[in-house]
Amino acid sequence: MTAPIEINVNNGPVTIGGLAVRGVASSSALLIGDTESFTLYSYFDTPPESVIIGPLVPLPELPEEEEE
Amino acid sequence: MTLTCRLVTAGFVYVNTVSSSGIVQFGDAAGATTSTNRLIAVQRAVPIYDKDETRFSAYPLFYKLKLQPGGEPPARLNSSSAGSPIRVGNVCVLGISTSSVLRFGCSGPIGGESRIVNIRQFNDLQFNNRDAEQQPGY
Repeated sequence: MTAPIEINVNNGPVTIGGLAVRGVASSSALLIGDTESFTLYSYFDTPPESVIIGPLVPLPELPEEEEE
Repeated sequence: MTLTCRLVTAGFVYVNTVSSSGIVQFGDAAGATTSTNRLIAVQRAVPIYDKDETRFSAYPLFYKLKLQPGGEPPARLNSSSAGSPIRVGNVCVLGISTSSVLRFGCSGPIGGESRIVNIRQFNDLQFNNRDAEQQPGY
């Protein structure tokens, strides 16, 4: 079995003039600092069947399924 | 993995909007930060809505299992900063939304989850008119 790789990081001082950000959206992150890890998920669903063209009626009652 | 926190200084911070499980945090956090956002967006030609018309459990997207990253990579990370700070001038952010995070400081794991189903509903009348316009000689 191979030995794990060892990574040594030495951080120096960081100086930034300024930040201008329009938007942080859909499970995103803007970090000024340190963290152990990021785990970010974003699901967006617009399948073809989500477009309904027809007489204006309430959405059909879809069968509820058990959560996995 | 070893992680040493650094001092963060910021001059002037302007955030216009924080919405839909967005987080703005100044300072350090010992534990994990998580945010969840679920949304069913219904767009209709005629805006008539019944209350409790849609349910999250009716759409598989909301209970689809999340893919988890594999185990830790075979590497050991040692990070040291020897007291080196992070200095930022002015920060201007217009929007933080849908499970997003803006943080100044040090923290444990950051997690976010956003699930959105978008439904568009048009009536027959508009569809027929548009179809007719596409006919040759109309």
